[in-house]
Formats: sequence, C-alpha cells, structure tokens
Amino acid sequence: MSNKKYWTSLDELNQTPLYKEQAAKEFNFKIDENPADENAGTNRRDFLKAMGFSVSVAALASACKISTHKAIPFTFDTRKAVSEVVPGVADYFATTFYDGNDCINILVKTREGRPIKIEGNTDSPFTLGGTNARAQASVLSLYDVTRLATPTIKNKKSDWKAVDVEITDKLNSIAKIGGKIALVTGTVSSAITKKAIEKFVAKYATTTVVSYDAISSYATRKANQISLGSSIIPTINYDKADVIVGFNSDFLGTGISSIENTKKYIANRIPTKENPKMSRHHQFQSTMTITGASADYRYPINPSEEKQALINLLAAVGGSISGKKALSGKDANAGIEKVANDLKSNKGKSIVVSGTNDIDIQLLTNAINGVLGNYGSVIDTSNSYNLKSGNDESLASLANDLNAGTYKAIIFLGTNPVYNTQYSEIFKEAIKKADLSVSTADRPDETAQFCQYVCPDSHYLESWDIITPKAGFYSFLQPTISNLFDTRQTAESLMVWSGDTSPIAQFVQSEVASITGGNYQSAIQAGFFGNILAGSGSSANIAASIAGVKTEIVAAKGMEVIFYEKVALGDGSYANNPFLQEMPDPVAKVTWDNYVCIPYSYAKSKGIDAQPADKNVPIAKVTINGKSIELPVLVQFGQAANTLAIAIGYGREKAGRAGDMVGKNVYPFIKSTNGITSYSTDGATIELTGKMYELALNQTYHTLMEDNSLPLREKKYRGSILKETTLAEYKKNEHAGNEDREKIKEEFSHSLYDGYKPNDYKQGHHWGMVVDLNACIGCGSCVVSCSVENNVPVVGKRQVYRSQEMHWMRIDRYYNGNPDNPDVSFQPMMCQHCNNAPCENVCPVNATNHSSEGLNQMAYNRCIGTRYCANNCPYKVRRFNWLDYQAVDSFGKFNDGKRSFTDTEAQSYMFEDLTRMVLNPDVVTRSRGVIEKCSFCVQRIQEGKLNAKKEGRPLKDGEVKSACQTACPTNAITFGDQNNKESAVSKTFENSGRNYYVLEEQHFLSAVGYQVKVRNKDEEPAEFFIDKPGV
Amino acid sequence: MASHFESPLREPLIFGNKTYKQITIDIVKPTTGKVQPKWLFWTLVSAAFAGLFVFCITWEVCFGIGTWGANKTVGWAWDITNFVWWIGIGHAGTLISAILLLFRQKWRTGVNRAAEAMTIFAVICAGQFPIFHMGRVWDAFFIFPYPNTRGPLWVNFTSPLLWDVFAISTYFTVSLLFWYTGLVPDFGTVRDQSKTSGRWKFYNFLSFGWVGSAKHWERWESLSLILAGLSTPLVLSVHTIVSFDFATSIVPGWHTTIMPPYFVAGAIFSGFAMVLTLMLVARHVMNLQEYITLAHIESMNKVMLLTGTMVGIAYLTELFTAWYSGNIYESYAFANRAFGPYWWAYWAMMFCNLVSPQVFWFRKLRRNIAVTFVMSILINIGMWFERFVIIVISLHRDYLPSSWVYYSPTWVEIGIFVGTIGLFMTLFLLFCRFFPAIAIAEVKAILKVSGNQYRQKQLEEVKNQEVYKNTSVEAGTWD
Repeated sequence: MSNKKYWTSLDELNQTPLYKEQAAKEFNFKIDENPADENAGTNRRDFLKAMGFSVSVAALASACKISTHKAIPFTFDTRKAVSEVVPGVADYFATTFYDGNDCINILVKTREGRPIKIEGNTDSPFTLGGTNARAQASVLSLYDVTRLATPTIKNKKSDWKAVDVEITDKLNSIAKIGGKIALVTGTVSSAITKKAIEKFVAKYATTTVVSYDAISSYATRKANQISLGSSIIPTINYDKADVIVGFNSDFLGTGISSIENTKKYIANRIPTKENPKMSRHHQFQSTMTITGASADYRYPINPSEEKQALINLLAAVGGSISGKKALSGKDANAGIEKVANDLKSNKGKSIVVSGTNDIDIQLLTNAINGVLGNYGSVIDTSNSYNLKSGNDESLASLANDLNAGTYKAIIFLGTNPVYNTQYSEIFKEAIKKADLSVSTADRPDETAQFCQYVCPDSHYLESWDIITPKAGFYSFLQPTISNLFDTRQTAESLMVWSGDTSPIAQFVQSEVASITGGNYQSAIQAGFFGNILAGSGSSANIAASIAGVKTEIVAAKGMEVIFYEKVALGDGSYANNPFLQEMPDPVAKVTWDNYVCIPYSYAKSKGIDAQPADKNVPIAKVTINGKSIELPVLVQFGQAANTLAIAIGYGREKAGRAGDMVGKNVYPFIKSTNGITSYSTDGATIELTGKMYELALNQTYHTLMEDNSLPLREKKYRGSILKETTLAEYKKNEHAGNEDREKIKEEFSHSLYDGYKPNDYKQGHHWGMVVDLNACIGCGSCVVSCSVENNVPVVGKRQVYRSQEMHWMRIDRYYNGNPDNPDVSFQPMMCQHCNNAPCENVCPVNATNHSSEGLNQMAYNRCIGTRYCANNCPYKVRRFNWLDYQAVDSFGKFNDGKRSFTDTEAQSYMFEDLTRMVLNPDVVTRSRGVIEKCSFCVQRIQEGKLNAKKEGRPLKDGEVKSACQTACPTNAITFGDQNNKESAVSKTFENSGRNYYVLEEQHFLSAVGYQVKVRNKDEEPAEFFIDKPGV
Repeated sequence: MASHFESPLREPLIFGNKTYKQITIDIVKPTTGKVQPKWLFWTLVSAAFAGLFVFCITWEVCFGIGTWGANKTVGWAWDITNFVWWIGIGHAGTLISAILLLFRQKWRTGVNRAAEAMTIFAVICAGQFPIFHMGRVWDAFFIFPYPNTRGPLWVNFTSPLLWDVFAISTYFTVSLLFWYTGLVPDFGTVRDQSKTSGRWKFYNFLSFGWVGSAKHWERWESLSLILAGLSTPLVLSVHTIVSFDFATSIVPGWHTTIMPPYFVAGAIFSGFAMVLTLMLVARHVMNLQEYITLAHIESMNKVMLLTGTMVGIAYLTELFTAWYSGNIYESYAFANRAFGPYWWAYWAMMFCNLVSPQVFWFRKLRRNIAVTFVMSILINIGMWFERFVIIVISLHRDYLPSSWVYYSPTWVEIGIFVGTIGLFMTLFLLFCRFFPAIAIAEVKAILKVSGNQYRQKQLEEVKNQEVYKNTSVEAGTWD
C-alpha cells in the first residue's frame, strides 16, 4: 500500500500561506470531544466503510420507517459559546425533593433533556448529599402514565381557560353570598404556595385553610406549646448525643427530616482504631423499624405502656412525678433502669425522643430532656422545622363542619383525604354536596375522582418553588424539563384564581432574588441559600410539662394495634411508584403488600410458621372495634407481645397501574382522641381464616444460625458472612470479631501448585469497595438508586413471590439473639467481583469474564442464559431476565404491557414510551434470557477514566462513585481503586482491623470488603433459634 | 457367537418350539396387518402429550423462563432434573448393546433392540432440556465451537456444560449408528416378508439393499463389534461428564468427587427400570412372552439390585463425607436434604432407590412380573427424585441464608416434563409398529442353543451322564 498524498493544486503542494489559511477555515469549528488527528486523511478503507455505511443506511431508511423527528441530531452546533444540550453529556440541575416530611437538596442528572437520576447535593449544609429511597425513586414518578395530561371537568378532558373561568365564576358567586370555602392542604413549607394561599384568602375572605398530615406530628407541636411556649418541632442534634433513647420514634426511617437526622446520628456511630467511641442507642418500641434495628439495646413495649414507661423513666432520672408503676415486660423494666443510669451519667449529652402523636408522651419526653439538661446542647429550639405542620384538630373540626354542610366550596391542594384520613365518607359526601369542588392532584385519585374540577399539579421536577424546611434556610426547586403534560403548579392555579396571572417562574425568580440579595443565578445553581446555624434556644419548662400530663393510665383491652408508616411507601402517596413498591421493606423484607405483623410468641402459640420457606402465609381476620379486615400474617421478630402492627399507605384504589389494590387500606381504622390523631389503638382481636396467601417476600430465612429442625447435628453459626463485635471488645482489640482472618490468610499462603501465580491485578486500576456494616441502617436508598442508574427492571408481585426479582444489590437482614427481641444486622450485598470468580469458569460461551481492572463483567450479547453462573455464585447476586421486562426483544408482542402488576406472565412497566424516558442511555437494556448483575457502575468508571484522560491526569480517588455510594445517607459504601495506595478503599483494606471479606475462607478473593459491625453493648447476645411449629 | 458350549441346565431364552421361520413371522407380525385399535389409542394419547410438550415449550419460548418456578437461587430445577433423568434412562440401552455384547451375555438379544431404541428416544427427550432451558434459545448455536467473525470468539473449554455438548452429541451419534446397524439385516427380513411393492421398497431402502451374503454378515459383525467397542467407554463417560456439571461447581452438595461413579451406577439403574417398564408392557401387548422370558426379567432385576445398592452406598458415603469433612456448608447441605423443607423428596429417593430394590434378593420376587413392574415404576420415580434432590435441594440453600428460597414448579414445567414422556412414548410406539422390536437375526443366532426344544433335547442327551444324575432339574420345569 502506498501512503502517497496527492496534491490537488500547486498551492497545496507548496503549502502557501494562502492555502494554509483557507484550508484551516474549511472545517474550523472545534469539537472538543473529538480532537481530530491532523495527519489523517481519507484512505480507501475509510471510504469503503463510509460507502458501506451510507448504502446500508440508505437501504434501511428506504425499507423501515425511522421516526427521526424524535431524535436529537449529533450535528449540534458546538460553536456556540454556551452549549445547552450536548448529546451524550449529562447536565446536572440543583433542585429540591420535598414531600412535607422530608426536604432534600438534590442534583438531577439530565441526559438529552430528560431527567434520569437523582443524586444528593453534597454542597448542602442541610442534607449533606444524602438521599432516601423515595427521593431516588421520584424520577420515575415524573414519567407516570397515570398523571393527568390536561385539567378535567367532571372527569372529562378540558383546558385551563375553561377551567379557570368556571372556577373563578363559582368562587366569586360563592364569596358574594358569603359561602364558606375550604382550602385543604398538606404541610405547606413552600414560600410560594404560602404567598399564593395568602392571595387567595385575601381575594376570597370566607376561605378557611386547613392543613393536615396523613401521618401527623401535631402532638409534638402542641406539647411544645406547653413546654416551650411555641408550637415548634425543634432540631435534635443526634451527633451531640452520647446516649439516644427512642420511644416508637423512627427518626432514621420515616421521621421528620430523616436524612438530616441520619447524617447526624451516624456521625457518632462509627468507632475507629484512633477513636473507638460511639453513641449508645436505646430503643423502646412496639414493632420493629430500621431505627430499632440500629439500636444497641431494644426493648419491646406495648403502645399503651409508653406513657407509663416515660413516667418511670422521668422518675428514675430525678423528675418529680408520681404514678410510677412496673411495666408488664420484664425486659422493659430492666431497660428503664439501665437507660436511666446511662442518661444520668450523660446529662446534657443525651436525648429522649418519641414519635408517638400523643401530647402527654411528648410532654414527658420534654420533661425528661429538661431534667437532663439536653436543651441547648442536643435539642436546638432556635432551629425549628417548617415541616410536618399539619393540624389534627382543624382537620377534625373541618370534618365536623363538612358533615353539617357548612362549606359551599372545597379545594384540595393535592391532598387526598378520602383515602388518607379516617373521615373518608364525610369528605366523599361533602364533595358531592359542594357547589364547587376542586382538586390539584396530579391524577384522578380517590378524592379527585369525585371533584368537579381536577387541575393537575406539575411534577416537582417540572416546577419552580422555594421551600423553607427551617427558618433561614431556603431550598430551591427549578424545572429540569418543561412540562410533559398540560399541567400547572398548584401555586400558580391559586394565583390565577386570585386574579394574578403573572407566570410563576417570574414570581419565584423575583422572590429568590429578594431572598438572596440579587444572587439569583448562583443561588439557583447551588439549589439552596442560607446556612444551618447551630443555635441553642430555650429550655423546656419542666414543671409546666409535668403539670400538663394526665398521669392516669387507661389499661389496654384486647390486643393493641400499631399503624405504622413504611420506609418506601410513606402515607401512600408514592403507591404508584413501582420502584418503591418493589423495594423490600428493610426489616420485614416484603414487597408489594401490607400485612399484619404478629409477635413471635403469638405465632408460636398458634402454630404459625415463623419463617415459611414457601412464602405462603396464613390470612388473618383482624377486628378492631367492630370493623374487620383480612390481611396476610407476617411474624415480626421483636414485635411486642400482645400487639399487632399494620402499615398504612396501602390499598389505594385510584393510584395507577402499579399502586391500585396493592395491600389493604387501614386509614379507616385510625381514631382521634381529643382531636389528636392516634396511630395505635386497642381492643383488637385476630383470628386465622384458614386461607393462605402468597406473600411477595424477598428473604425467607432470617438468621445466620442454621435451622434447629435438623436433628443429629450440632447447629452451626455462619460467622464468616456477617461479623459482629461489641464496643467493649473492640476497644480491647481492633480485630475483635474478626480474629479468624489471620488464620485464613495463613492457610491461603500455602499452595499445592508451586509456582502458580494467579493474576493479582496490580497493573492499572483494580476496583474495590468497602461496606461499613456499622454505618448501614438498611434504609434501601442504594437499592433504588442502583435500579434507576442501571435500568434494573421492576418485576412485579408475582415474580417476587417466585423469587425472580432483579435487584442488582440487596440488603440482607439477619436476626440474632432472642427471637422475641432480636438484634438486627443489615448487610448490603452486590456482586463481589471475585478475582477467583466461580461464575466465570462455568459459562460455556465465555459471556462472563474478568477485566484487566478486576471487574467481573457480563457480555449480554454473548449470554445464552444457561444460568450456570447464577447457580455457581456463592453470593447469589446474579440475576436472570426471566421475562421481557424492558419490552426490548423480538417477542415483544407477547408483552402487551396492559396487564396489572399483580398477576401475569408478561408485563412490563417499561412498555410505555413515556416511562422508557427514565432509562439511563449509558447502560444498555437487557433482553429476556440473559444474566445481569452489579457492574460496579462500569459506565461511571468509564466516564471518570475518560475525563481524566482528556485532562491528561491520573484518576483521582473519589472521582468515580458508584450509584449505591452516592445514594447512601450514611456513607456506608466507599468505592475506589485498590492499586491507588492513597485511596480510601486501599487504606481501609490495609489498615482497618474491622475489614473482612464475606466467605473469605472459600477463597473467592472478592473485591468487596466489609467492616465488622460494632454494637455498643455490654455483652454478646445469645444464639437465635426459630422454633418450627409444634417443636 | 452362539457356538460355544452352554450348560444344558441353563434356562432357555426362547420358548414355544420356535423355528427360524416362526421367529421371522412372530417378530415381523406386529409391523404388518391392520392397525390395532389398542395401539392407535395409546399412540394418540401419547401424541396428545407430545403436543402438550410442544405447547408448553412454545409458551416458554414466547414469554420466557419466567413462566417457570426456577428463580434467582434455584437456577436449574425441573429442567436439568429431567435432563439428567432422561440421559440416565438412555444408559441401559448402551450397556445392553455394548457391554453385554462384549461379555457375550446371550440374554441381551431379546431386549437389546428395544433398549437401544429407548436410548435414542431418551436422549432425544433429554436433549430438549439443555436447549430449551436456555434463556435465549435462538442463540443456542453459540455453544458450538464454530469459526466466526467475532474475533473469532471461542467457547469456554473450562465449562462442564460445553463438555456436556460434546459428550451428549457423541453419545447420540454412536447410539444411533449402533442401533441402525443392528436393524439393517432385520429390515432385510421385513422387506422379504412384505406383500406390497411400496412396503418392499421402503424396507429395502432402510436395509441398504441387504441380501444376506456371507460378506454382508461378516462386515456387519465387524461393524457391530467396532461400534460396541466405541460405545463401551461412552456408557461410563457420558454420565461422568454429566456429573461434572455438578462436581466441578462450588455448590455445597454438588462439589464432591463421588459424583461420576455414583451417576453412572444410577444411570444404569434407572435405565434398566425403564427398559423393564417398557418391555413388560410390550411383551404383553405384542405377545412376545416367548422371546422376552422370565430369564430376561430376572437378569435385569439382578442388574437393578446391584446398581441400586451401589447408588445406596453412594448416598451413605455422601452423608459420611459431609459429616467427616467438618465443612459447615457441606454438612448443612446434607442435613438439609434429609430434614429440611424438601425432606419428603429425599426420603422418597431413599425409599425407592435404596430400600425397595432389596426385594430382589428373593428369586420368587425377581421372577414375579407384577412385583417387577411396580419396582420398575418406583425406581423411575426414585431416580427422578435423586436428580431433584441433587439439583434443587443443593441449590435452594447454599451459602448465604438471605438467598435461601423454596422452589415449586409451575404448570409449564410440569407440562414440559409430562410432554417429554408423551414424546418418548409416541416414538416408542411408532418404533414398535414400524420396526422389528426384537433383533430377529440375533435371536435366531441363539435359537439352536437357547431355544426350549433344543435345550430339552440336550437335557435328554445328558440325562444319563454321571454329572447330571443328582440334579433335580427336569426338562420343562422352567417357568
């Protein structure tokens, strides 16, 4: 082959200046992505390639219908100074996830204009980059096909003009005759919505604003009115507490501002060699939550005894209160003493907190904290929340008034009281009777379906807003995509009805400018403004608090029932999000359902199998004050004796395809006492119906201790999977709980095969991960984040029942100790990227193999789906595409996507084009019949490496973060390069005495190190056995 | 082959004073004449089940493996259980035709044809499972090491699944050749009996124009011996390699060195059980009692007693090894087999395979047709459970308790399995109708030694000899 260059003109031959200049001009726009090789010319091969490509494209184009109008051309004009959308490059927008309970500063990753992933905003002083599962999953809700595409009048499509005219006319005529208007809102922390409501009220003076929370903290505010003189919810600095005592408070999971609190909590929970110190967490609770699971000591108590327990505790720490009486539980009695001792020796460095919506209980915790002097140090009353500001009493009086027919108009600002209050029937009737009924729900939900007008709100990723979770801290929302449908923000609707038609964007922008003193651009870019200043505030008035407590205790009748909130589904508003439905409950490990939790002792007495291997559980009929409901039974270890627990947020009827008829609705069972909503009740009975139920459990065996139904054999504890120790032991020996590692290392230093040297991946990168079991609280944020990042499909209830779920990472939950009150451990588990991987050598077609960087990788296109690798994976992290989940393969016509999630052989939420917009374009969708698994987010590694290469520098540690790592609110997961001696991962591997590898003695040489879990306990717990029925 | 001396006290293998002509008539008869309603009925029933197989496979391929109960933990379940079961069943045919041929066991002539046919059909059934258990069956050809433009991208020679591909394709090819070779002279016989030209042409084609010359016979004998020699190692190797699927893995309960001998013994065990099930029925339906005699049945029962006990010893050795190893995962795997959620499968296996064949220590029961039939069914069930125990019970609880699951089959899996039985029976019934079900030439070869009238003559000749004076055996007391 000749490399001759032919000249086309004498100028070219002589390279005259004129020629050079013109030649340079010819293709003069710079594309920094593809630095062109100056010397390369078109040769014959390239020509033939191009020719072949164009001919085949032409052939394809003439043969197939290609919908080019949907594509973004690659020939985007990059000469512009500011590129808006560069295909293939993600843009991040700072905004805020807000739902009344949580306010989380987030970054939204958009690709080609589509939001596809939520990341925590690490700059935020408020949430410090943490996210929860709800925030992670919320991006899918944007593409929910159930959302209304236009406003509706009497459930028929309409347009804004018509709707606005009719509503304003009706409002005016009602206002003219002095008819009352009810505005039913949730917690309003939005400065914009607040202003809009003010405007509305100013225009229509007969308006009553009622704000309520489906899961209320009203009693806390009410109690603080007595103790502190103002109805606030103060900030609790868990990081400053050395002793934390929780009473039915799920502050790590579903409590107020849980990410902020989790960050603070975990700051004082990781002991190190240099500083072997951690707080001690006691938890008194009726059912098991992730907060209880994280506690060092946990005491089951009945809800009716919580007040007595607090009275006893107050007396024990030196408060002047009478009425001390022994509790029914032996553990709890001893616990009170132990806790009191711990509290007394940590005055000013402790906290007692209750999540119960009861004024007496809240007053008692205030008194205890006052006696202990925790105000000003741990409790910061000068920084109080604007979250959870619903008022139970005004909801109750609204219900009364509605019953009396007082209101002519009723407007629901996204609220759904027909579903999520006990006043369902009253609201239903009132809506029907009212002259005007409007809902701003984004879908025709249980309430909106009866309303005359539905004015759909935009999704938060399409919205402008300013949220003030705490006074002085502003968190901004900006649209990350223009409205997908003809929707309008609620605040804008209110303003329009109040006669102000200026666009909301302008309004928000001017507000932001005035808040920030003109720094609009940088404030919106940051996503927040202001700082969280540590304050102190006043202390509670102890005497007033105690005086407010009614000390008489009403003994509970029958069984007690707790209505609790799940980490994923909350009050039920997330019901149509399949990611959250499929996220297993962190403790119960159930997906797609609610159920009645029964204590182990009760199960034993009734002969109910506590861990049914086949996931078939009995159905029980629970009768509460005459009303009954049939629910599947789940034996919850650690549930207090004589109590039942049922999750609210299920049984939606009008949520959408994923959420409808999943579980049962128990809101109708919730009662108010003296206007305060109470989430527990007594007088319940339970009986087995004899029917069985297929529960979509995703873990059926609950302990590392082997089954005691096996005779002839000593029971063994699988200690090399999850290692634990106590703080006392750890202080003595940093290898505590991990002593066997030395022996394992020594054993593997010998080999039968002299001279055999396995690849140790010492060249280039060698990726590794560290998971700190002490930090993991089991919240599940990583599971959802991984699914969103890697296009992991949702499979639905039936497939989970068949154990065909697809999660690339899961959180294993193991119980240890007494089954009536066990210790709980969480273990995030994903592909361990073994250097000696058992999956690799068994694949007949080489579809899975090891990269030079130590990654165990999958070639999906090569996989024929024998599942041999999955069988041979000791960690059971390989997942098989059982069905056509992504609607991508050639047999798609069998997947019509029209069937519901609960039955069906072939269904896929990814069937809808709209939903598919959430797919991450950097990660290929997998066809039916191939194996997939955690890739260590190889697309992120690749992106990081390319960025470093473009900038001509080595990759920095922490530059590449896996999706699970970024989502984790406790920084339990660290990813990095083991070959970089300065990386956090290799430092931990080298130096931490707590580091171990799961099943290390089997010599799989995994790349994921775990850190021994340390509990701040005085002694090791006893062994855990679950008795089989009849044993 | 048939010329060496045999004790006149030996039981004859052919009854009914058969002549060469009578043998021809008896064995060719079922292939001619009118279709029997009984045959038609059972063929249609079997074909209906074969249709179920096609339906269930179509369902599975259209929707996906998710229509099965297999799951994240139990990646192989009924599919591979059935595969190993069917492959095992095939082994009796090869053993009878190859090893027993080399050992000059004359009783094999009565059953070898049908047993070989069974091998072919069983391997056909077995072959469905590795193919259709693949998630992407349309890419099944990836498993062959063929030259390609992807690099070339080669298969993974360290994977036992690949070894399976070679082992089973070799096995099928050799078995098919062997079977067909045996059929060639018999096709010639059937041709010679045919009364229509179409039939004549058909069987003439199948017999490759066999004329029965000495040269033909000589070559035929040589080829048979060569193929027998080739098949003999296959009897041992095929199931050894199938067992490597398990033995080379790291799953507790799979990873044991006992697997190859244990699998081979089990395969022969189940194969003989299936041969007996089929032959007892065929003998009755096709009136072949004079060719498939109690002597045949007894011989096969002896083989089952031997192999069943070998399998039983393997079961007990496994338990011992698991306990003695001190490995907590290994010892749990076996404790869990016996006392875990699937205890019933384990004890069904133990009862059917280890306990029940012990009845064959008694001659009376060995020669009892009803007992033999029941036992053959029990052993078929037991051997299916053995594979279920090995595959599903080992997988469902391995290292991490968090991933332990319970597996139950769906209607699709059940339909596919039942369907392969239908497919198998359809093929076998077609075989009985169109092919000579007993090797005519080979039976004729032993007639002069093992036919009852010749044996009787022999006995009479030797009756007065000193050696036989004290024997109590009288001619005609065989039953």
